[in-house]
Amino acid sequence: MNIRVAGVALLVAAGLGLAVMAFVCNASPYVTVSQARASTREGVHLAGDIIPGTLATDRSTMQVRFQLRDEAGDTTWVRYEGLPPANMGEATKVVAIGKVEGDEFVCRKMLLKCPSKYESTKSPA
Amino acid sequence: MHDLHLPLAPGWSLALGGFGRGAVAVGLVAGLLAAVLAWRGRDRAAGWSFAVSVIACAAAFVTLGVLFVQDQFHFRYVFSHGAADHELRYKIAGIWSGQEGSFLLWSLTSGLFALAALRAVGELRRGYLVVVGLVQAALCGILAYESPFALMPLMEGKQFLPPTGQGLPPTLMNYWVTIHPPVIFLGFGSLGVLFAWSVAALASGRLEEWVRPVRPWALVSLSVLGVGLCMGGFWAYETLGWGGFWAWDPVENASLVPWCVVAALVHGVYIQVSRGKGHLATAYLGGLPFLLFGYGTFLTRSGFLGDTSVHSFASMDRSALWILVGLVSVSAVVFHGFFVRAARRWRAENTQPTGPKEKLVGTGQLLLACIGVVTAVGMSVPLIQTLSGQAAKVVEERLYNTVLAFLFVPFLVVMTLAPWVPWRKLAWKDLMGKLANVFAVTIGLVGVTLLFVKGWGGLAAVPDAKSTLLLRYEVPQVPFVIALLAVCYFAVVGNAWRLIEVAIKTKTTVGGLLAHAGVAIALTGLVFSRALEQRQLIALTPIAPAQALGRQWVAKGPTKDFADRNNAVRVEAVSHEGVEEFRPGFYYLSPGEDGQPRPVSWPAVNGRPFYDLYLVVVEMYFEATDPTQMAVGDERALQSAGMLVKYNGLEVEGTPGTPGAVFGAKLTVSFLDGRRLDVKPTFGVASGRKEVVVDEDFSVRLDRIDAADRSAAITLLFRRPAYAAEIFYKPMTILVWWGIGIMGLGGLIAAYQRRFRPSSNVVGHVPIGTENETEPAPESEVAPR
Repeated sequence: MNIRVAGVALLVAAGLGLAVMAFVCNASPYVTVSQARASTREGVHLAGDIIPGTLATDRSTMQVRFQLRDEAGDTTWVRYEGLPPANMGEATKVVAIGKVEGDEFVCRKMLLKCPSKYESTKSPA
Repeated sequence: MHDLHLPLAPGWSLALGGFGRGAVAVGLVAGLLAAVLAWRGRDRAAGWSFAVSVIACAAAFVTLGVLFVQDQFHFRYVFSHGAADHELRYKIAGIWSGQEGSFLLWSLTSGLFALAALRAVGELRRGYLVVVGLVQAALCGILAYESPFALMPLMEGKQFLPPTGQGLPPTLMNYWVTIHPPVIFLGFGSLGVLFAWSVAALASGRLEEWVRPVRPWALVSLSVLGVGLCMGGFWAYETLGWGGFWAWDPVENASLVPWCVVAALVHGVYIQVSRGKGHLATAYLGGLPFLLFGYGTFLTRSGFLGDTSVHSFASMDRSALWILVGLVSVSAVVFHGFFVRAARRWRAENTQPTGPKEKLVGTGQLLLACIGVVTAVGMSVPLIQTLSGQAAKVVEERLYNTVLAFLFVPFLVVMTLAPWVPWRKLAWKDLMGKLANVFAVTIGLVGVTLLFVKGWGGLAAVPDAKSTLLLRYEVPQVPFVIALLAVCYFAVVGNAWRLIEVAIKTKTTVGGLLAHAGVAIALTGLVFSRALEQRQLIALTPIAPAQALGRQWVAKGPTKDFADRNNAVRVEAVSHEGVEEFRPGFYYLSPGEDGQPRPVSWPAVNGRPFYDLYLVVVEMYFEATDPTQMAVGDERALQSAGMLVKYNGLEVEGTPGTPGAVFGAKLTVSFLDGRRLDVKPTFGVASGRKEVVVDEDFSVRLDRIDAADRSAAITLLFRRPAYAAEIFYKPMTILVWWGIGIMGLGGLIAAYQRRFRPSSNVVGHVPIGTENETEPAPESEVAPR
């Protein structure tokens, strides 16, 4: 009986260990513009602010281009393959997920860092 | 400030704010007093003291509500989350839309739940009151530092009343903001009760007596938390940029993890009551959800997640955060201390061999706990990375899906088989005989699904779509999804069939089976809706309908004004079924610091039996063409507009280089019917661009000129707005709604059926869990022979 319990415990521990490894090894890194340029990996997360006035939509190809400035102050052009996500005007920050192709960061998915369900980012005046 | 003629803050509201702060202080002191009195054995006085603490929290809550409804914006929290023009429901929702208010809601729901359960706790009252008293005091302590009653800074030594506040962010302006938080916080509040109950049981060593009375409360906790979680999913479904029903965001995970463990607890209670086994595990599962929720709260509020969530989290006040850390860590240490002590003292009396049902339910519990733990690990990756000094990483949705599929698929199978197997001896042949019907119906449903993905009742699935297996291998999507659906169907049919069998003979286990079926139905809906979703981008122009998803789409204009947050764009979809109207919300916020318009969209979701059509207007525009650079004499055919535009040259009025100069582009527009029209759009530094009407649908604008070669950039404009839109086809979303409703109903029925009736249950030191127990007949008695 004890051997069986130990066996189950070992199996569960091994399974959980595998899950942790899978998560840590395959989790997508957050990168800066310079790190994104040096990386060949798909699906890196590039976070930054949209530089005002650079956002343009090409409706014939249904793509959006804009310039993004990361925390270090570096900038890059970002091309998003789709229409701008709705509520982009409300976003405080964008996270572009993709990789650098040529001189631009091409993303297939874009997250908008928006006020949380329970927290506004605004501060009292 | 005097120049603005702001009124002074009214005295009554300043007094009310003081009352609110005082109520929080009373809540803290009374909570502590309840714990001390209970510790000293004065249970009755402790109960009254705890009731005073809860009443004080309720008073603080009502006070905050009055301040919101009465627009008292000189309170910092009201200013940050309220606005004078908000409808009443959003003013009320303001109470819990920020950090301070959500802690106040937590303290209230936790207190109310604890008070409601006080009678049922029975002889464990003493330990229970010590714990709930301390938890209540800690939550009030957090509120003392993160006070929703803090005032705005004084101006010239006076407290002025701002005319309005910053209001709720547009994404929160949805009816769910008034419903979802109270429900989910009621669920969170219930976790403290389960924790206190299990600590009291562990501390007193009475691991037998507590399970019967705690059972209905655990079932209510599971149902309320589950329904609250799903309400959050529906809110996210209707809110763009939140990733649909479920995106494995830390906010969502922090609620899912305790739910999984409460589900494991409910099944642990079932085993203990029926078989007299698993006392220690059940007690452990009772306390764990509260600790995991506390950890999740710490993770989402401490700032460790930083950029790795799409949500923004204002970091907590440091002192309040330390109280939270203290509450969670002291609770964890005390709980594990009592658990180790109880484990050393506990001697299991029941040494009967483990039967097949017990094994399967135990496996189900283990899988549920593993789903919770693995999700908690995934949620902690950013923290692990930060603590190990490495760059931030985040676990993406597809990684969660890939890893957790290894647990969800066996979990569904176990959830289906467990109700069918007997407690004692398993006759595989009999079981397979009974399950043959379930298999047959499952195969039938798979056949119907094949017809559905071919286009019967909905849209045909994209034939060459791929799914990624193990993050690497591409497999055809349709067979992969159908395999997943087959497992879900098996779980739905297996539990529904068993439910009917059981209901005919005895109604005692109907609730649990109904809840199982509900979970499986909701998962079926999720697989359908996410995996077989189709998306198309369309341009809704005023001149020609757009074709998408077998329909012709035409925009009919706004319902109100584009500055009105209740504005929607009327869009008609014409198909052989007739004309259907969609009203996706679309309005503009006042321009931000960069002067750019800020559009806000809400989808229109038109549901039908087999699928939802989900339409979002992304942007409004007037440009029918991009700016077209033309040299003198150039001709451009604009086929979509049915016209030919010829550029005849530039005309200048005034002196070039001065602000008064105006440039005009001489154009000849030829229509398909032979008509010709000469027009001259102009452009000047001082006068701006002046577009010229060409016909009822179009006008033309001069954007730029090149003085060197006299070329011009011309843009054709629609005279009525055009809209860029996204349309989603989401099949079988309705199953998610039905599944969640059935799950919640099943849980509540189970809670009612298992309600504790001391008069009809033998409680005390009588061994329970034997075959002759007073518990309603175990399922084995109606199991197939």
